[in-house]
Amino acid sequence: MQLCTIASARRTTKQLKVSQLLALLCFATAAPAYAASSPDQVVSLSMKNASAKEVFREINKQTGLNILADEAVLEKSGRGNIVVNNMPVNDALNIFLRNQPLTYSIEGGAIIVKNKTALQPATTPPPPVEIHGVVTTDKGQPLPGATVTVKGTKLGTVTNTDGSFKINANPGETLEISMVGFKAWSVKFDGKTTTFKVTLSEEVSNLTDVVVVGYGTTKKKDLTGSISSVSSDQMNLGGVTSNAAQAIQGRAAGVQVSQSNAAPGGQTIVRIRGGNSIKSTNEPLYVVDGFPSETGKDINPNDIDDIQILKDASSTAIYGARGANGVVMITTKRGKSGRAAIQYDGYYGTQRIIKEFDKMNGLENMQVTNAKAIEKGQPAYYTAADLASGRDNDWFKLSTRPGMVQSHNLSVSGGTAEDRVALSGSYFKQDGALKNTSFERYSVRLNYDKQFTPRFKTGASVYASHAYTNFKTYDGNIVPSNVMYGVITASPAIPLYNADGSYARFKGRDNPLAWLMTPTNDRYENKVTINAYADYQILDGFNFRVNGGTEYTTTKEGTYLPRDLVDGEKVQGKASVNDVAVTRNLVEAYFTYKKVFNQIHSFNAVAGVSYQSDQNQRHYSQVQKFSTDAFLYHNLDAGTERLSSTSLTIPSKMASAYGRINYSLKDKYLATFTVRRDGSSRFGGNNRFGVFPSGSIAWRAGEEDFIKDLNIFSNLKVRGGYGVTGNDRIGDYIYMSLFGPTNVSLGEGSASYGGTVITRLPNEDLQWESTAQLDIGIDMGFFNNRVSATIDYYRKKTNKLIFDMPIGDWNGFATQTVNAGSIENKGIELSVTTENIVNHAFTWNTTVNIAYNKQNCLDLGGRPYVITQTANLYGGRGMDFTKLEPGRELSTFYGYIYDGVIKTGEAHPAQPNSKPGDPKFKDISGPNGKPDGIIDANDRTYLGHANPHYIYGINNNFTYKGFELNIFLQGALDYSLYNGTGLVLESGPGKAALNRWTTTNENTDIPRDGYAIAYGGLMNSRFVENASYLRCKMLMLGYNIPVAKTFLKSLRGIKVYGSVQNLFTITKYTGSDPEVNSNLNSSGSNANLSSGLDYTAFPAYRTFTAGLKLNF
Amino acid sequence: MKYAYIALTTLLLGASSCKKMVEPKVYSYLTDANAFLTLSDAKAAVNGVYSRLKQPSGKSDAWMYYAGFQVTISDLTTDIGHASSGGDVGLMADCQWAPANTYLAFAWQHQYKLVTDANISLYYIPKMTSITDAQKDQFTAELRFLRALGYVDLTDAFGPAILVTEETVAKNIATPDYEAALPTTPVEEINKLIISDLEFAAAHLPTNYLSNPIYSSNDIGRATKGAALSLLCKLYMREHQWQKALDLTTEIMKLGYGLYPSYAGLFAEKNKWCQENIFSALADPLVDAVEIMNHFGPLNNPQVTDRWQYFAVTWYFWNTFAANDDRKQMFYYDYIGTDDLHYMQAPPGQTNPPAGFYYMPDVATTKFADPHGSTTYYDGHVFPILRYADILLCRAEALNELNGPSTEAIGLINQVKDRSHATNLGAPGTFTKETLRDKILQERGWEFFFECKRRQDLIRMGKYESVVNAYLSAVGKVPSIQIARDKYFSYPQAQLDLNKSISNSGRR
Repeated sequence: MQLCTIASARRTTKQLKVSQLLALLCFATAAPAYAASSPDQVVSLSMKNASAKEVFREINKQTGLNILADEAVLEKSGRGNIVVNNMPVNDALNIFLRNQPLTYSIEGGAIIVKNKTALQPATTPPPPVEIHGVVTTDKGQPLPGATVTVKGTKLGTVTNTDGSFKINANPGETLEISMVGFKAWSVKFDGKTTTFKVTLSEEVSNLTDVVVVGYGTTKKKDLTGSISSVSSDQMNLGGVTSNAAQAIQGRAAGVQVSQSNAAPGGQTIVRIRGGNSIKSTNEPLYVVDGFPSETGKDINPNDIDDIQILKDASSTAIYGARGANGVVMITTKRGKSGRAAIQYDGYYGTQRIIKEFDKMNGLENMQVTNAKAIEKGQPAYYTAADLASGRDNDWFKLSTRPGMVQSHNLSVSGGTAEDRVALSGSYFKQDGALKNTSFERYSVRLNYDKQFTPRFKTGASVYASHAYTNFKTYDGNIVPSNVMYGVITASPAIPLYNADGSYARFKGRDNPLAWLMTPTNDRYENKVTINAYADYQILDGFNFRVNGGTEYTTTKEGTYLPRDLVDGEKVQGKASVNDVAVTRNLVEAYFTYKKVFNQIHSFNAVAGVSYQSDQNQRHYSQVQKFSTDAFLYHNLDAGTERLSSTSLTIPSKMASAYGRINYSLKDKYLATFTVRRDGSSRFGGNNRFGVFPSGSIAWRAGEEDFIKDLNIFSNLKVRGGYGVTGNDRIGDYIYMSLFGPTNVSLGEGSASYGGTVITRLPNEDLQWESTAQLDIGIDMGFFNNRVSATIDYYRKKTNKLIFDMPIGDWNGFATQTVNAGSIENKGIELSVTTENIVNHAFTWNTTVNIAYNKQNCLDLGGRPYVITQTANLYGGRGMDFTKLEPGRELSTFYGYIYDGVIKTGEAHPAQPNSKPGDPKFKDISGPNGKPDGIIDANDRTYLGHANPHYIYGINNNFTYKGFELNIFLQGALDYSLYNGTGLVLESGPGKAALNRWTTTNENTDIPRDGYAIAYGGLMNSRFVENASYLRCKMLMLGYNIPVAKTFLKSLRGIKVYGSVQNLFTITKYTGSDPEVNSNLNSSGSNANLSSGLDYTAFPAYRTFTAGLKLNF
Repeated sequence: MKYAYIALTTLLLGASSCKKMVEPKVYSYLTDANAFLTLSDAKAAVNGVYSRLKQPSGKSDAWMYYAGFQVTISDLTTDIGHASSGGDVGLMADCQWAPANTYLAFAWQHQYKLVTDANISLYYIPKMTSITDAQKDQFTAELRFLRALGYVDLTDAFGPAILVTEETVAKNIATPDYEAALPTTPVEEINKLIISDLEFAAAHLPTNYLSNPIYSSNDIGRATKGAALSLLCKLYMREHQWQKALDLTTEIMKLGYGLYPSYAGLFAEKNKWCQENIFSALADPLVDAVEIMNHFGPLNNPQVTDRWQYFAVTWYFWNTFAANDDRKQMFYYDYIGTDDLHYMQAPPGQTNPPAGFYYMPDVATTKFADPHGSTTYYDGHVFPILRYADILLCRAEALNELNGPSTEAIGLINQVKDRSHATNLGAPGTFTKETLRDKILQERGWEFFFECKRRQDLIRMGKYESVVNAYLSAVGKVPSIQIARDKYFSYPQAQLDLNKSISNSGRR
């Protein structure tokens, strides 16, 4: 304990500190009783002009209290007089040190002496000063919700609705005021000025925006990867958006959104930078508030705060095996501290069909049908009585109506610094423009965050929704249940109603309206997602976070085919119930560490693990033969014939570990490294785990002086990254040798003999598809960031495609699922944002994005090609539709070249059994690649590709005083559609067929009776059409009512608006909608290989909406 | 506290690499680990192979192979069958097929499905420990019969084919190579496997399943000794081994088969089984319903409603029936349709019907569209694969080929004719071997139309080119059959494209 004496205190400061701690520890443990009484000990001193050293030495003598002090410190002090008698030590010291630059404390039987400047206000800190202020924008409007902090402390508050705040600070401390979207403001508090009027100017650049990335956030300026952001105000401009995917259409470069058809509740699909897979889905991964959700895009779009679309490998590698198709990170609105903000957002709209089909009238149709029959040697189809009936039913008009759409959304958010809540409820309803179709959704969301201590916070999100769809089918084989097939092809000459009001039949068949109106097709979808987090700050900058959650979705489809229809009558009613339930449980734990070293090295690291367990369950039953139609599908017991009863349980699991390091040197040179290791039950035992690394670097050249000196760029960043990600969404068990049940009759009666058959060949090597992606990008800002532009070049190569390799059938299967082949996608994306005009009254800004993507199949595992079929346009066996071979892209049409009609007397020996009026196809090849004088399958060729090479969006916003005008144009270029609807119209009741070939109408290209002859086929060049288009997706005019000047002062804002969606479309495409894609049904591979069919789709419509937004 | 976190992370990191966490669990399927454990499993595996006779690619394909589509290659390609629809089926009916014709691919695929499913069970069942040798013999015999049937059909259609057995299964389980491009094996070699399979089956199968020790019910749909002998007989017939075929007919005739008294009754949907049936693809409307009636049923018929007349018989052939032949009545040749039109054959020289008439391009048969059968979309028509009348006519043919016309041969033919009240053939002396062969061919057409026999009969008798070209010319189509080229079909285009070890030279 030599340190304890003044005499031996000749140490360096550094040593002393260490020793002090040791000393304190000793006293505290060895002599607690003594230590406890020490401050009450008394001293008697009478010293004049004494040095501090002398005084302390005397105190040491009298009390035995050790003195811990640096001698140098003591020597700095001045001399003074002290005369006290039996005074407690601390009082005596207070008197002596009153005017000295020293302070002291008595701890554990020792007096610790320190310099006054270095000390904490241990005894009586000077009271902080209360500061008042008001924060306004540069336009003078009060700014509520701005954060006011005292730098270096935990003190902080938020401005009130009038922009005012109140905070305590000590002189010398720095006051900081910040708000997203504004430049931060700070001032050093001199202790005198206690009232501040702060004006925050709007930040022109969005570089300080916080971007949500996997397992954390980062500032936009620190990004090294390619991420597109869509904020809620871009999404929620006032048109009808029923899900998140629709909200991002045209808003982000390289993100293609399409809808199979515009039916209420219809499927939407999203492609980011082209499709990588043949068999697996090319849908991106959706992550909602950190929870990966297969149905993430279906949430209420009003709840969304922003969407980040992670496009390149550097951004998506943190999601490893699921990142290859891009990741859509959806962040929902969370409560902010401050007064409760109540918002109502609602609209009502009507939807009108844009284009009707050109069909013959009833009499024309009867005449043409009869003429065709007679040409074929068949009797006239319509009798003289039919011809005289005057029947002329416009099935399209009868089946459609003005649709209705409405949405109401009410939300409350607010809270204190400790508790923050966001609560919303919403209702969405759409009655489709096609009768007897509708979609309805109720949803609620509660987001809650609780700050327990400065270091510990937790929170939870609860989302529940219930949706109902009155659905119809628009695809599949030519069955009357495909309602639009009936509407398009039915003759106007068939009758509508019987005298008793029931639906009429004609020659034993139902009319299309009966098929549209009488079957029951209900779909109920429920979804509950609950996830919670706890975040603990272990050390400054070092956090530990646990996320966990459950998502439970159920889909119940109930159908009933009633006796009103021939098919229902025959089986006395047929009902089915299909129940699907999907449960996902997820737990994740990760550390984040943020630290700046020497002010130039900035690190941000994440490391964690996650475990996900899914279970899919399905139960399907189908019965028929009911005594009544009354039950619909609600009492399957009542059906006496059981057709089908199946159940299925499929679990899947995924365990992962991941890490990421962001490093930034001098805030100019940035690097990111990410790695994830995923293990999934979906893959064969030999390859159950995969590692997905990525790295990227960026240079914020705009921060370099020599760039600044150019005076061109206000921001310039160059970035590049490379990484590998995977696609694991391939279905379950596909690597296993599986056996399934079958039934066979082998006995005398109807006894069923259970059988087992092999249903899949094993492949223990099956593993992820792996996509390696290179991305090089430049972010630029000009004119103080009033113009900003981002250009990205990427090249993706997907290897080990999950591929149904054609095999020779002699192992029992036509295909075997293997990893084989590769596909490449290359592209360039450009997005430009400009603020064309900014002044107090008028603003105009523009956002343009355009993306080019070219896909190229490099290899199909050595196999020459894959031909994909689609439903036969006339019914019957499926027809070949597309062909994929190396050098081509997915969904390339494959068929015959149409060469007009065979004229009377014309010889076309390549079609020996054809007659005049038949379609004529070109003999372009034979088995040896040379024309061989016969039209057969060898004469097919590539006719066009269905995936647009260019997609673009152009958005213009204008504000003038309280008015807002938004014009959003969107489109796609360089692709084709197969106009199957056109083909069936021309073959049947379309007006075009009036110009068909007859002996008196030789000069035409329209064949006598459609395209079904022994040569050539329905898949021919005549119906491949350029579908490039420009569409005015949205036009919105809004007005912000200046409430401050009215009696509605309690309101914060009222906005009224009107909008039109799909106002006009510029295209050469002759079908009803160039955006249509009939084969985008639930089956992913169907969409990949056979996109581009326009056939029996829900008709496209235009939506007129009026809406109201209220802020309380 | 800090250490606790580190420990937790280590734990989680450790756990994530633990394979057990992502071990799959299978609830709704069987795997190779539990599909072949008990006697019941073995029976189910055998039953499953029978189901491949008519639903080769899954439960919903209720029209493939012996649920009807086999006629596209065996009957539509001859003078008997006709399909008026366009596309690939029309090309088959017009004898204009090409390697890419989808029906060739269907035939290849579904015949191999039967073969390979039999192979898989033939691999697993002998390894099972829970069943007796007698049980194994029974199951193996059934499976080998089914495999032989698949190979007979494959070699009929394509000639040399790729030979796969249970050894192929074993090899692929040891070292998977499902993509291997295997070469074809000559027909003679495949015949050896067929013969050994059928001899084994004949030796181990019972004549029927009445009070069978392994199967408790009378399973009329299973392979029997008679079925194995009959198929073997058919094989020897194909190979012109007349004496062997003749000897087999002698054995078969001892097994108690007989002709069913009425031809129409034989094909009634309700008549699943009778003394004439040797082996059939059974079907039941409630268990494993088929769409035979949809494809074969008549158009707009008031009695058999909502059928498609997709596969029908040519008027050219129907007109050859004598008026007194019961079998002529097995067709929907004249009726008033649901649209009140009169459905009939166009009178000679006429093409356009007068008002109220419909001239049918071809004629639907009641054989697979029983007028008293199912009224529902799916039906339960049984498809006969081997029946006794075939054996009788085979015997007549073998006798004729060996010794020329004989009383026995004529008697056998007349036995078949008698059942349908058709006019009998006269004395043997009125025929030469050749003229009697023609009579047998004609009789076989009348008796077995749409039973997947015609093409093979024509080829076996050397008449494929002459008979079919005569028909094509008569109906104004291009006579396009060349026997050297068309004895076998081309391998399906897709197979040629992916397997360079097989060749298409000289075929189409």
